[in-house]
Amino acid sequence: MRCVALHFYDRANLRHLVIICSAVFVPMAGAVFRLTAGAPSPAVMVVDIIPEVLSGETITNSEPSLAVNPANPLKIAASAWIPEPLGGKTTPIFISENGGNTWSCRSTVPIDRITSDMTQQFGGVSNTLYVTTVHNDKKFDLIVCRSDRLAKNPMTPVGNRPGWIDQPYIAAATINKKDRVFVGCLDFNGPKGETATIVRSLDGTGSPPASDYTPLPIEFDDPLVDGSEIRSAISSNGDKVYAVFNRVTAEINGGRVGGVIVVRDDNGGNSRAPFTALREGNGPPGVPAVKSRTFAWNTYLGGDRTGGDLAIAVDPRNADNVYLVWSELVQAQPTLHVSRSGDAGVKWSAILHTVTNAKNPGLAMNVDGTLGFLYQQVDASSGREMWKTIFERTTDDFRNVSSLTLATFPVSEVDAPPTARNQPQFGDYLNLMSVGNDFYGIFSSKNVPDVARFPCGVTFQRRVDFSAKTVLGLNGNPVNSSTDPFFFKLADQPPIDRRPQK
Amino acid sequence: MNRRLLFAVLILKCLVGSTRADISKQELQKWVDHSALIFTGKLLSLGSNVDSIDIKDGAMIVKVERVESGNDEENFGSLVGKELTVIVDPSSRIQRPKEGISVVFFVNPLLYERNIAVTATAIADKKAAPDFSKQLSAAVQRKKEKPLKDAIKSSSAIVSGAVQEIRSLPETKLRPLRSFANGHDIFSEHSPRWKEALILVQSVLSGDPSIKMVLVVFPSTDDRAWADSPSFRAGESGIWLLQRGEVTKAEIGILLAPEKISGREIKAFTTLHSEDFQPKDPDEKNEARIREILKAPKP
Repeated sequence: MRCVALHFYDRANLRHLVIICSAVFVPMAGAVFRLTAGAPSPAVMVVDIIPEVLSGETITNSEPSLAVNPANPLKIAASAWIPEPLGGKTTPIFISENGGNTWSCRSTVPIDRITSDMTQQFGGVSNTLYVTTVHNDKKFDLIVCRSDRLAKNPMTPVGNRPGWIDQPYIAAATINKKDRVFVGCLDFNGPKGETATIVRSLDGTGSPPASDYTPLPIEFDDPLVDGSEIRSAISSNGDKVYAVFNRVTAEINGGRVGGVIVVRDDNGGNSRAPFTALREGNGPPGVPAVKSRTFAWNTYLGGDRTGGDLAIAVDPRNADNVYLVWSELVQAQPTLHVSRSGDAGVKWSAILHTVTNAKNPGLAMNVDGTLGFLYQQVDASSGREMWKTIFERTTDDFRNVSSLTLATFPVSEVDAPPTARNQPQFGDYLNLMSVGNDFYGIFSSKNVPDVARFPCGVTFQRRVDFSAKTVLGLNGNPVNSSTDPFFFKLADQPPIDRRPQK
Repeated sequence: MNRRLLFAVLILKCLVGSTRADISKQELQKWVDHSALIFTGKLLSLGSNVDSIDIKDGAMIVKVERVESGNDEENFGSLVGKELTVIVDPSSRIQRPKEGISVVFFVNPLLYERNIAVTATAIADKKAAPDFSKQLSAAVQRKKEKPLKDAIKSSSAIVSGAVQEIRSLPETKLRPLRSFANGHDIFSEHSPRWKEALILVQSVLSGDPSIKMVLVVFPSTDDRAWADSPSFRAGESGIWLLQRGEVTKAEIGILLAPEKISGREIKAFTTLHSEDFQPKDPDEKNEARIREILKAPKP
C-alpha cells in the first residue's frame, strides 16, 4: 500500500490521475451511496462523515472540529453542529475507528442542547478523549467530558464553569505521564477585562482535585474585551504551551481593532504564574505578534459570518519555532496572514504569506517540518464567486507552496444573511492537525455529490446519486442539499504542485 | 458510590421495564418522559446490525411495528418496518422480550451508522396494564404538553396582541450591559443583540387585566445559539407568555427595567423559549388551548 501511495505521489502520475478521474466518471443508475468519486488517490482522502442512516438530514452541520488519537491514529473523533437526530437529550459526536474511512455518530455527550461550540482532543498516550462545549441554555455554561471508550457509552462530565463562556477550543497532551488539558475560551466571569482564559486540568484522567479544571486568565492588560477565539498549542516535548488571542481595543462597524497577543508557559502549563513567560519590555505578560490592526467581526464573507480568525502551530522538531495565522481587513476584505517566530514568540517575522477573502484557518506542522495551512476562501477568479476549501503545504516558509482544493461550490448556494438564525453557515473555525507525517483535517461544505466540486475525490456514507448530483434520503428519494462535515487525510509526501510565491 | 452514580442507579431503578402487570400511571409517565422514542416492535434475534455494537453489549435486533412517540420522520422517514439494534443493560432489571411477541420499547438513541442503535429504558408488554395503549397515549400527550404548561406556569402574565413597533435597546440599558459580566451581552459571539418589541395588548388571558402595553425584550441575532427563541416583526400578532425568570436577577435589573413610553410606564419581559410565543392562528386554537390549560384545576 505504501508503494502505491508513493507511486501516486509522483508528480506526473498524480496529475495524470486527476485528469483521468475528473474527466471519466461512470454514472451509476438509481441510488448510489457509499461511493468514492473523483481522483481515487490514496494520498488524499475526503469523506463526508454523515452516516448512511442519517441520509435524510438537511441540517447545517457547521463549525467542525477533529481529534486524532496520537497513540493510535485509526481512532478519530469529530464534531459539528448536529442536534440529536431522534430528539434525545444528548449531543452526538462522530467517531471513526478505521482512520476516517467510515464514521459512526454517537449520541453520548451528556448535554441536552449544544451551541456550535464543540471541540475535542485526545490525551497524548492515554487514549482518553476529551470533549468541551457550552450549554445552549442561554447562559452558556462550559462543560468538559471525557471517555476512555471512544464515546461508545455516555461520556463523563469532569469539568464545568457556569455561565457566559464563548468558543471553548481544546488542546491536550501527555506531559510527565499525565494528560494536561487546556481549554482556551472567552470567560466573561473573570475580573474586569480578564476575559481570555485557559481552563486547565493537570491530570485529565485523574480524579478531583488532581483533575480539577482551573480557569487561568491569560489577559494581563485591561482592554475593551478579548476576542472569542483563543487557541493554544503544545510543544512536542510538553514544556512549552503557547496561547494566542485577539486583544480588542475598539469596535467599528463590521470589524474590531486590536492586537494579536501570544502568551507562553515554559512548564507545561504548570508554572507558578502560568502563561507569563513572554513579555515585551516591562509590560504585562504577553507579546503582541501584531500590535494593532482592524479585523472582520460581525460581518459576512460569502454568506458566512466572520470572526477574529486565529491559528497557531509549534514545530514538532523545535519548540521555539512557532507559526501563527491572524486576520486583517485589507481593503475591506477579510484577509489571512501567516507569520513566524523562531525564538519562542519573542519576535515575529514580517508576513510570510497572505490569502485574501478567506477565513477559518487551520495550521499544523508534521514531524518532517512540512507546514500545513487549511482555509476557506471566496474566489471570484472564474467570474463566479466560489467557496473553496484549500489545503496548502510548504517546507520553506511559503517561498514554494503546494496547494490542493479539497472542495468548492458557488457562493450563491449559501443562504444570504440574515434569513434565519443559521449562523455560522460553515463555522467560526475548522480544524487541522498532524500526527507523524500525516495531516488530518475537517471542514464544512455543501454536500452536492458532484465530482467537479471535490477535485481530490470524495466518499459519501450517506446516500447520494453522483450521476444526478443529488443527495438522497434513506428511501432513495432526493432531499435538499445541505452543509456537511468533511474529514480529510493527506499522507504527506513531497509537494506535488510547487508554484513560486508571488 | 458517588452521588452522580447513585442518582443514575435510582433513575434506572425507576425506569426499568418489565412485562409485569403492575405498571402504575406514574411509572409509565416516567418511562415516557425519559425516552426519546417509544415504539411497538418485535424481537427478531439477539445481536446487532451496527458495526460498533455486538451481542456482548446486550444487543438485540428489533423490528419497528408502530411508532408511539418520537421520530418526526425528518431525518429517517418513517421508522416503521426498520430494524433497530436495542441494547439492554445486563445489570438492569429490564427483561428481554420473547422472540416474535410485540412489546413496547421505551428507548434513547445511542448511535447511528448504517442502522440505528438505541438503549432501552424500559420494555413493556401491552398487557401489562389494563388499557395500556390508552394510558400510553395519555402519557405521551402529557409529555407533549408539558413545555407549554411549564411556560404558562412560570409566566408573569399572558396577553394577546400585536407588535406595534420594534425598538433598539435604549442607552439606559445598553450602558450597564457594557459593564455587566464584562459586557457579555454586547461583545460575545453569541451576543443576543437585544431589541424590544412594543406590544399593544388586545386581551389579557392571565395576570393584571389593566395591561395595555408591554415591552418584550428579544434576541435579534442570527446566531444559531438563539435559534429557538422567538423574534418579532412589527405587525405580528399572537399570544405572549410574558416571563421575568428567564434571565439572571442581575440582568432583570437592567434588561427588564420598565420604560416610560408616551408618558406611561411600560413593564418589560422576555419570551426566550419557543413556547413563550404562540403565533396567531386562523381558528385561534392556540388561544383556546392556553385558556383550557389556565382553567384546568391545578394538580
